[in-house]
Amino acid sequence: MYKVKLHARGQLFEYSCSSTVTPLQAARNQFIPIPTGCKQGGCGMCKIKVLEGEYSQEVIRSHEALSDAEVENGYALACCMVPKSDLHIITAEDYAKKEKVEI
Amino acid sequence: MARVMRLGRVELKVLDLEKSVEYYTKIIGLEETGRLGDSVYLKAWDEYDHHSLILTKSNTAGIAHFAFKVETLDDLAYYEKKIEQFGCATSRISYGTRLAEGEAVHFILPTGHHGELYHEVEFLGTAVGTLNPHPWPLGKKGIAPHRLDHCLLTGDDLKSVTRFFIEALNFRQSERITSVDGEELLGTFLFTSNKAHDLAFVKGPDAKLHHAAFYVDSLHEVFKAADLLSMYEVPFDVTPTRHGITRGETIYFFDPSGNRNEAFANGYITYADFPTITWTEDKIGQGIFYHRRELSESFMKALT
Repeated sequence: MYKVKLHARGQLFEYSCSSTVTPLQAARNQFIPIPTGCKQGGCGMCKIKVLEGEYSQEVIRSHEALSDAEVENGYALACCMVPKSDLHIITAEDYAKKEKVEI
Repeated sequence: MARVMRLGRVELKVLDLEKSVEYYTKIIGLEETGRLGDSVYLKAWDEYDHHSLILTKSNTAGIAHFAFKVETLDDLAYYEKKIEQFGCATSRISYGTRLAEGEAVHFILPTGHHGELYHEVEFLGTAVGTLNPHPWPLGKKGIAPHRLDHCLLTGDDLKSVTRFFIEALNFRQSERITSVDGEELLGTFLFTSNKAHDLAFVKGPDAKLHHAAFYVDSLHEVFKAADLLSMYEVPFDVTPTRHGITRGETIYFFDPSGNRNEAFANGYITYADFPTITWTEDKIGQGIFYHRRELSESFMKALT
């Protein structure tokens, strides 16, 4: 079991996630309100920025949901990845807001 | 001139072609009718034409185009002119661009979606034929809908897109969603056949797909479709319920590229003299999900 720290909807959630479950499904299983859409890598609703941690992700996904540049910058889709260590993640929405405040 | 007949085909962009073909044949239960380049063509068992769904490999999901079939080549020329008169540019898609299709008239909607009109397409026939047919074919697979039913698209300028379909293509509006004061149009449901909707739009980002729907017979068939989706572990958006709008019975779920699909049953029939039904924004929850009476985030925001 890995520990996940998730910033979503302006709050911090901490939950556990096994190496065979997506951080999206693990959050939902623990009633954590992570934004969720198609769970297929098509809509991009669960896009997150990984602040810390190792993970592996599915390469086939909509490039509109997650571009190559975003992958390089540590963004991922929470429905299309599994953790390989503890994770510290933030939803793309919360990250954008945070960046705005810091600027 | 005759009315535009029906939504004849939809082309969806898919991320993994073979996985998508497997989903649309095994789980939805459509029949593969041909392949050309990066596209696979499919039809439902009760449809006569060569295809109603085209899956095209892409690195994004969503809708590549939708197309309505007209009754004659004269109708095609007539509506081509009407589209031009409305102020939308048209171009001709030439014969043989896609499999089993003749020429089509292409246009771009005020919401950025690519639309086409066409008359010519190869005739294949239904699985039960036209001579003493059985009510359904033996050996159906998956959900096995009768046909492609309708699409819901999103866009910003719903007033213009409504005007386009009514003025240029002679559609009618069965229902609409407005702000409480009636000023802003938030949803528009359009028909050219006798169905409650052939194409609909809700307020949202331009050029996006909300869902493509397939028609099944009854609430029982909706429920059976839902059972199948669970057996195949297809992600659900909405489990069986009723729409206030159209009165249809429904489930929503996602194809392997995240394109939302619907299995839709019933809904009332429309006639040309029916007035438009209005839903105000404060009642939108029950307009869309009649039982739950609340919208969900995924339903409103997950688009491809």
